[in-house]
This record gives sequence, structure tokens and C-alpha cells, in this order.
Amino acid sequence: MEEEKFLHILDEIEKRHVVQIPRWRVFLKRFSFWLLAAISVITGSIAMATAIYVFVDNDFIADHATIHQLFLQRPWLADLVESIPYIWLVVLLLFTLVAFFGFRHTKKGYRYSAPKVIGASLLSSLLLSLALNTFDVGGYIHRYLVENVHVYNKLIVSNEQRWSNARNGWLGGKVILVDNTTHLIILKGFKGRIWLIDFTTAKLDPKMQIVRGRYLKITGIKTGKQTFQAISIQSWEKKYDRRKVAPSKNVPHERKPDVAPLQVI
Amino acid sequence: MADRLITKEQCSAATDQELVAQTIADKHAFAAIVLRYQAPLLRYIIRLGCKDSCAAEDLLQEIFIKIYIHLNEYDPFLQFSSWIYRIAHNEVITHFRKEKHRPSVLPKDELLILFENLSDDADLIVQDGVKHTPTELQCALDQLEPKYRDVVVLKFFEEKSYEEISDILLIPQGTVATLLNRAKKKIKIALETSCQ
Repeated sequence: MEEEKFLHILDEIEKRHVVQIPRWRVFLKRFSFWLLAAISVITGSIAMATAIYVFVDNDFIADHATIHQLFLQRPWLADLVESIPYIWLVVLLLFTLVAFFGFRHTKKGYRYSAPKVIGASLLSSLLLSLALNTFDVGGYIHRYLVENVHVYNKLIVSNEQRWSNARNGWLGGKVILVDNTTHLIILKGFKGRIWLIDFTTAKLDPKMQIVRGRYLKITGIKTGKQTFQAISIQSWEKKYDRRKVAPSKNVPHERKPDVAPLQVI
Repeated sequence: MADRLITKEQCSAATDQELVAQTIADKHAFAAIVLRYQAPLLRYIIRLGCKDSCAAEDLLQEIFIKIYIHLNEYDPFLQFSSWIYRIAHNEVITHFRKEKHRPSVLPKDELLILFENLSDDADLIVQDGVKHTPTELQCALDQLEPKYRDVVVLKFFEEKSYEEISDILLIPQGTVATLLNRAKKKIKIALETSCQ
């Protein structure tokens, strides 16, 4: 009786021309889920690296004492909350969920509970993001988006936006050209505008060299549509000090602090 | 036809992994797998709620065809029985979904097995010195949600370990333990209240 049953099953297999799923397809399917999980963790880590960069780059965190006066009118906590890069956290969360989905569909993924998998994914993203940020990956991505993707600026509150306010005396950007004889800098602002900066009377850090490719934070007065009189100049220390800058053909500007006394306005 | 017949000695001598390897090379070796697992799988299908014997046998056939199709997906580090129970479980659940109905009443003889297996949980069966009957237990089981009933069936009917249940239902072992504990509590509450 039992033999009849199993013979019937075998007959059915032959009748339907059933074939086994080939091994390569099984391998491809398993590999796809691992790949999906891995790509998601890597993408999550890039999002986290950028989030960390954007948050840490905020002046109120590290340079609070230096430019304290710029933010006196704003409560510190409001700055903190405002400066959290929510968009990157959303991206991180999204890819963590995708990583969870991918891992859960691997051969033994079901054996691990959701909090463990999500926790491990977040931890991996964090560690990877720290590694990425040693190479300034977060900074590059953020800067690229700030300069090239208009909508990105609407989704995030960044230090670049704070330093794109020439009317109120804060101007930031990348040095295009330096002329130490005339004390002029040509600077490309974060909104793409080219500025002519006069730093004849500006207070400079003696250790800082103004060279082409360096990012600067300049306080001063807007004197024209594209001209700016600098009062103080500092380099974009935290994020760009590690970045290699193109060597300037001009002699780096060095000024003794007592040569040009600071004009406080 | 004769070349497909496999003796019971041949079938019992080989391990599951060997039979799988043989089937991948020669499909006729699949007969040994069918012979070995058709009875336990049919019981499992019925225990999951498919009481119509014809429907159960049709389901069994579909399950074996699916096992045959996916044989290359079998991971030798996993117990083969867990793997085929997983396919059987999924196939039966899909069947119930198509039918839009999942019978909950277990056959009476099956219920007695459960009653015996649950007897080590003395406080579940005997409460306040009153021993519950299989009928009352059946009433309590009827009230269980499918996710709890699946675990109860695998644990107390199929006598599977937590690891095996985890492999069959594709859930972590911790979740198996949680579901089982909750199922027992729900059975206990049901026995105390509505099923008396």
C-alpha cells in the first residue's frame, strides 16, 4: 500500500516533467541576499558617516567659545536639535531594515532575533562609518551634495548654510586664488557665487596658510554684490585639515598679528 | 517500474544526506525519501488540521514534489527532517490560506497523544485537584491562535526539539520558547474558564 503511494508520487513527478532547481540558481539566490545585506550595511555606514560628519562639523560643538558671539541669540539646545542630520538618520534606518530583510533571508538568518540583527547591523554601520570618516568620506559626500544637489540644502541644516550668510557677515567657501601682494582672495561660496575678499586688515591665525583649495570661514562685511571685507579668517579646521590641498603657486600669506590691528565692528 | 523499487533495507541503511545526494544524481533514489517520510508527513498534515484524508494525500504529493524541486536548496548542516517539515508546514499553511479556513479541532485519537505528552506539565492537566479531560483540552486548543498551535503540535505531537522547531518555523529558538510558554498559559486559562 505504501509502495503504491510513493510510486504514485514518482509517476506524478515524471508526468509533470518536474526538474530540480539547479545548484547555481540556489547559490545565486543565497548570494543575492548576502549581497543585499552587505550593500545595505555599507550604504548605512556611508549615511552614518555623513550624519556624524554633518553633526560634528557644527561650530556650536567645537568652536563654541571662538565664535560664541555669533550664536548668543540662539539657545544651544535649539542648535543641537536643529543640527541633527535627520535625513541621514532616516537613510540609515531604511538601509538597516533592508539589511535585516536580506540577512533574515540568508540560510541561517532566521535563527537570530530582530533586535540582534538590527543591533549588529547598526554596530557594523557605526564601526564602518568611523573607518570611512578617517578618510573624510562623510565630508566628501556632504560637500558634494551641498554644492551640486539643490534640494539637499533644504533637507539638512549644515555648517555650510551658517557660513553662507554674507549679509550678516559670515562667509565660507573654497579658495580659488590668493594674491598676497594685493591681499585679495577669490573664493567660491557654498551657493556657487564667486567672491572677492579683501583681507588687508583681517585677523589671521599665524599658523594658518591661505592656499588654493582650502576651505575658509570668514567674518566681515559685505561691501558689494560679490565683494567682502574680511575681519577674521579661520580655516575649516575640523573637516578639512586632513584633506590634501593643492599647493599654491603664490607665497603663503603670513602676517604678524601686530602689523594690522583688528578692527572690531 | 521495477528499477524504481527500493527495498526497505536499502532505505533504512542510508542516511538522509546520502539519500539526498543519491536523488540529485538519480531521481529514482527519491523513492527512498518518499518511503521514509510519507507516513510522518501525512500525520503532520492531519495534525495541522487537514482532516480530509483525500486532501491530505493530495497535499502530501504536492509537498514531495516541492521537496524534489528544491532538493538542491537543502543545507546538509540542517536536519533533513526539519527541512522537509518546513516545506510541509508552508505548503499546508498555503493550502489553508487558499481555502480561507483553518480547521482547529484535532482528531480525538490525536488529542489523546497530546494529552499524554502534556501530562508532564501536571499543573496544566490537573488544577485544584481536578483532572481535565481530553475534551476540555480540545476546547482549550481550539481557542489557540495558529502561531501557538503550530508550536504546540510540533512540540507535543511531533516531539521536536526547540532547535528543530526553530528550523521548521524559521523563527529564533527564543521565540519558540516564548510561544510555547504563552501557548501553555493560554491553554491553562482556557481550561480554568470557558472549557469547564
